Amino acid sequence: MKSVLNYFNIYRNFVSCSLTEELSFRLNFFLLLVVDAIFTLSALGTTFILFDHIPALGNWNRDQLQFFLVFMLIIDDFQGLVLSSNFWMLSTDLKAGNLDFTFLKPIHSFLPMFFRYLRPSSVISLVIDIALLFYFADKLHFTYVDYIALPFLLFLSVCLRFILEMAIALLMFWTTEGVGINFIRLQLQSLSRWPDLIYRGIAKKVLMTLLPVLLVGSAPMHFLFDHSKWHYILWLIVAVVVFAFILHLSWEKARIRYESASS
Amino acid sequence: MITTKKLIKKYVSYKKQPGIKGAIKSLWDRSFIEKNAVDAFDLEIGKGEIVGLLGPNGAGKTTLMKMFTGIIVPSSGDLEVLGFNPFDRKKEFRKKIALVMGQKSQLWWDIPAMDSLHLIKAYYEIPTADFNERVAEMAKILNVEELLHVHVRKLSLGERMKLELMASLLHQPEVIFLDEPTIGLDLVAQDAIRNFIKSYHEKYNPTVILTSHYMQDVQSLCSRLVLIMNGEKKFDGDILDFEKILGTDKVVSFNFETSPSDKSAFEKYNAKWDLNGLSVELALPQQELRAFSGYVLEHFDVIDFQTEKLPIERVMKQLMLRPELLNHE
Repeated sequence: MKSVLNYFNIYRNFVSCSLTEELSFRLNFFLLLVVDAIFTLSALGTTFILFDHIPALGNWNRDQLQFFLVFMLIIDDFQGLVLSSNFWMLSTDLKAGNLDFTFLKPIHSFLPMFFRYLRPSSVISLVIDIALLFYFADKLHFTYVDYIALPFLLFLSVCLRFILEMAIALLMFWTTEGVGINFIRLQLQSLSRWPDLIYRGIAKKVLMTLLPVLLVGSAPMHFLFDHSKWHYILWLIVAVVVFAFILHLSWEKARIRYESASS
Repeated sequence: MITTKKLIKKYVSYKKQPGIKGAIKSLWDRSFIEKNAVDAFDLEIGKGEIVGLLGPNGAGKTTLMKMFTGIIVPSSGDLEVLGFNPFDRKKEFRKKIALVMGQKSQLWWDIPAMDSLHLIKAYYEIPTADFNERVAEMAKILNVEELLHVHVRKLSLGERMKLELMASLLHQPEVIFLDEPTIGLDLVAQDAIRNFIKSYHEKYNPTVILTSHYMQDVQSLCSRLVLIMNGEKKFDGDILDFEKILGTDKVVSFNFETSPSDKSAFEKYNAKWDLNGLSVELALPQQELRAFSGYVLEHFDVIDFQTEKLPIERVMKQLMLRPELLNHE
């Protein structure tokens, strides 16, 4: 328990340092707020226009599709807020040997490696998207059970997305250069922004099991739209546990590969 | 406290021919080079010692430091620091060590140092009262009280290094690894860092391993030296013994008002004259130092006279130029 509290305390300091850093460059900070808001609104606008011409996809209607879209945008927002900046820093840190001090700290290295830098400007998008999520939830006549389940499902989805992306990012310990790995991450994100309903055959099997990016958004939707499909949630939990274990094993291999850089 | 047995760190790199042709060829045809950055290294360091780890660039000093701290994993051999295998990276171990690197920073660049210090407080779970006391004490000694709330990017290298030291020592480590802590600093800043380390050691008695290319650092801080060349240990002993590694002669220099007309008296002492014959450097046997110096002062128009201040610098320079000299020891 003490250890968990300490991790929260460290994370609170990361938030404080990141915010201090971002606010040091005021103009840039306001610019990012505006850009993020415009990006979110244009993403929503484009997709809503597209969905306006698609009355249904599989057995999901337009409102359900739009709810799914907003759900995925929230996951993207969390990722943008918490993780993204760190992925782009990792390759540079590996090449320059900047992880030396990260490895020295008496905590799990994942915390400073993946959660050190935040992007506070993403909060604007998050607020917009959460408001829209409730709007569409209301349109879909969500019950109390749905509203209670929603945060838990969102948490599980965010966990799976984070774990998958961190596991992929660890490949940088082998490749050193991170552009290719980050490109793979972004492509997998794109694939996961569509419901599993549109995939068929091997592609669907792979993206639901070996690289279960489709579970991130589709599994909670299947359950929320039809409670009899609770096995999707079980599947999501299993994926989180299995990939957390894979992430742990990968880290044990990856950390041995770190050579630092000569100074 | 620190024990290594047959410690080896192997690095693999590859040779690339210059230009586009070489770049394309290196896609499938790479000639790999394997090099032991540290080779069969044995070492024992006791509690409270200050040991200077000396060697030319690329000798393996920093690699050793990184293995001692658990940053990189040894290729083979045994290593124990404070009873831990550093690469297990146990929390208790990491709380007891600190690394200061002159060429790398742990302070956040775009925020004031105080924010970074608060983060370090959280990392090491330092109680608030202790944190406040230690920050106040170290900031006063290092004269950086006014700099704690300035953005790190606005500080000079010397100021930044002082704050780096503070950041590394806040948790009062038992073992401190200092990797070129004074590199690039002006003389005043170098002095301040050295004095701080000295007084910190006197007060808390941590074990200190120091690497530096500035012999003044080594001379004023270390009582024991370890020389590493091409990854191998070449010397391990008292600093006074290191000074005598190439002989016990004392190096003395004289400056003259006018060039002596008869220089024959100087020749048997391996005299090195400057171009206009106004200055000479001699290697005098210790037992002749007083007599011959007196003779020169009496019979020549000497305007200045000095004995060597940093004999280890001369020894290091000689050994780096002619490593084979060590084989005659």
